Amino acid sequence: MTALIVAGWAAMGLCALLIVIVLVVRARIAAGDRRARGRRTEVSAILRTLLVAGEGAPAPRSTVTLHAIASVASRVRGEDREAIQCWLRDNGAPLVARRGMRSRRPIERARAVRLYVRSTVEPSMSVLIRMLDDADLRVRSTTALEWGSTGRDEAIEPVMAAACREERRLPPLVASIAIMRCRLLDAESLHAAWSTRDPDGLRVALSTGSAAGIAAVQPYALQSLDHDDVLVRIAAVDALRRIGTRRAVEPLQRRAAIEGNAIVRHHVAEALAVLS
Amino acid sequence: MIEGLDPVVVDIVRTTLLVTTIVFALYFGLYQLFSVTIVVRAIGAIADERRWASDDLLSGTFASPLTPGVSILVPAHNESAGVVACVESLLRLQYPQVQIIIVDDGSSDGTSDVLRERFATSPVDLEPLNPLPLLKPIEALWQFHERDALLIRKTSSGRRADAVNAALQFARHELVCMIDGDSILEPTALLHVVQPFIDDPTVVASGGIVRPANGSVLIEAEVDRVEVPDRLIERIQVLEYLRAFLVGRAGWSSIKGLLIISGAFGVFRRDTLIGLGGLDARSLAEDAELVVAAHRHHRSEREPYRIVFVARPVCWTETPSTWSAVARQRKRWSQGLGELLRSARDMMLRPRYGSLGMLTLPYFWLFEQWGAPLVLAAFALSILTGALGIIPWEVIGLAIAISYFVAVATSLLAIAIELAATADYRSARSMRRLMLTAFLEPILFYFPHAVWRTTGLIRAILSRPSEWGAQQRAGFVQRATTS
Repeated sequence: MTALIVAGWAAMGLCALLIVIVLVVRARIAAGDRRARGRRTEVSAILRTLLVAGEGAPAPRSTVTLHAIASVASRVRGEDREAIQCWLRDNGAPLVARRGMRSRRPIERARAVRLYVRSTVEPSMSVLIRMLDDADLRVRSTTALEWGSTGRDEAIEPVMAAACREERRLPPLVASIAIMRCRLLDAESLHAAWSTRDPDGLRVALSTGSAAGIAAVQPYALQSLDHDDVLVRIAAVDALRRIGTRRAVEPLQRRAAIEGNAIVRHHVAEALAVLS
Repeated sequence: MIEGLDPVVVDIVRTTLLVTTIVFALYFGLYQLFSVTIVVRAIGAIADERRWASDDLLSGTFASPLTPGVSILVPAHNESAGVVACVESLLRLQYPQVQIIIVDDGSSDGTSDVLRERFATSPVDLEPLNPLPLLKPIEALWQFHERDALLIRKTSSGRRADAVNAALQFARHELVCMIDGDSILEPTALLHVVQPFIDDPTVVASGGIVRPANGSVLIEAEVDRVEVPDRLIERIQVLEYLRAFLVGRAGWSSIKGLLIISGAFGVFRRDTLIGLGGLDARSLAEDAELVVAAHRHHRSEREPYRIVFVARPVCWTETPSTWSAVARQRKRWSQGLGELLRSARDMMLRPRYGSLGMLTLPYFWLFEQWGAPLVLAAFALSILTGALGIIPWEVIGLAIAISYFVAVATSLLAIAIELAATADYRSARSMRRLMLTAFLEPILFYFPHAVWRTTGLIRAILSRPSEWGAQQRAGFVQRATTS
């Protein structure tokens, strides 16, 4: 009986505690919103000073502000970007980033990669290649996307290679997003896919190459029409629909005649309609 | 009361009842232990998801040529009140490639007529891309003008799965999303729920949060203001959805034991679905049946795979607004669960099926399936032991009070997690209403709910046939934009 009474009081106490927790959570959210408003004001003031006045922006109150300013750097170009990057460097962002990239927590490493790429004019290839080989998939993805967001074509080869390798691969869709952000100018930058014939790599190379309008992708797409993987065949057909010439019509018709998969046939019909 | 009986018999009865009571106490203790574990895992999973959320990544997904297209399958049976809002919300989705396939499954309320009045369509004659066996035939097909959307009218077989299979036959894209004809998707919901497929190629299915839209206000097929509804039965369902979707599924997903991806909002790889022969048209729990089949297939083939739950995207759906409609729905769900667990009994307690076989299925069998009849049995036993004077009424009263407060605490915890995770119910009025409902629900809802679930279980055991059931839809509260 005593045990039950104690349990009853404990259950009632738990309810009371949870009501308090609900109220505390609500109060903390309100406080968080206030802090976020304060941070927005601080960030706006820094940006206004940097981009309008040109100099004399105050130092950040915390690393959160550093990250917030860095996120703006990835959305602007030219002098504005340089001004923000200069301010980030002056306030120790590369140092904070390099320290963060050694953190045990994947989320900290991912944040650090973002800060590093956004605060550096010419990010070190060796640092980013090392982060592309991180044990955590999400950190690898963040690295690829951030590197891609710089628009530097030197990112294409390492990202493509990371999508084609056996261990610690980069998801093909993430690789394609990263490559699309770079200036893809020739099919040879994608050689890791052509040489390994890896299905995921081929999909990335065919899709990004054709989306960038590179005519040199056509021979590789024609070769991939007979690939065992259905998704590669679809990517090849779609690539030919985008950049194919009259030379692609006959192989496509041949593929349509022998193709067993209805979805591929549908894509082939669409491609032929565009090309003929 | 038992004074006239032989003392030996009295002793046996007393001991039996005492042992049974202890077994019940252990059962409820084990249930609470499971629940706490799931809640703790859910909190970790939701917090992790929020930390990694990135709008930058979503914009990249939106722009990538490799982002997989999605065919959205919308089975609708007598959904004329809400189907137009549903299709309009799908047409507004922020996603690069979307094909919409609506199936009017033998509606008698003119569901397909309402759609053809609202959108310009032309009859077409198409061959299925992925032929699947159907219980009832397709009667007609219409293609929407200037939209990648198809309307199918078929004879009803009384099974939602048959309607989904009819739509699946025409699915062209790599991924398929299933939603109900009375649901509204938030504009970015699809981007969020597809993201796991992009981040990890081993993901084969992904589900999102489903929330009751009752009481909320829509502007041009988008939810503008979220309110906890006025009617108690609707409020109770809001609370149930918070517990089941936000906490339950996030927790099960984090231990790789997700059993259900709601048919109201789930994305699957089309080839996985086709490979499994589509949905099981005989099942009432076709969504869970599909997830179990996917687990079974990938575990048997020893292929790496993940089935995930994303705590952020939201699908708003209209829940039943009367007690009788909720009763019909819960009997159907309980029957479906009974049928599902019977078909998956060979996976139970088998290590080769991982968390699903060792944790999820035993949990659902022990607590979700048999929980309701055992609650009723425990209640009857309490009355009996009290009446026979074996256990004092004060003890019984205390035990019931403890159960009550534990039930209230579970709901309050779900409210706290909801408050921290999303902004939907943060207004003071919504919080007050939800907290009040948490205290009323165990008193007013638990007992009838247990009776409905027991009825459903009995129907499953007796293999009774069941169908969609008559549904009354009020439609969404629409408000026009003001200029």
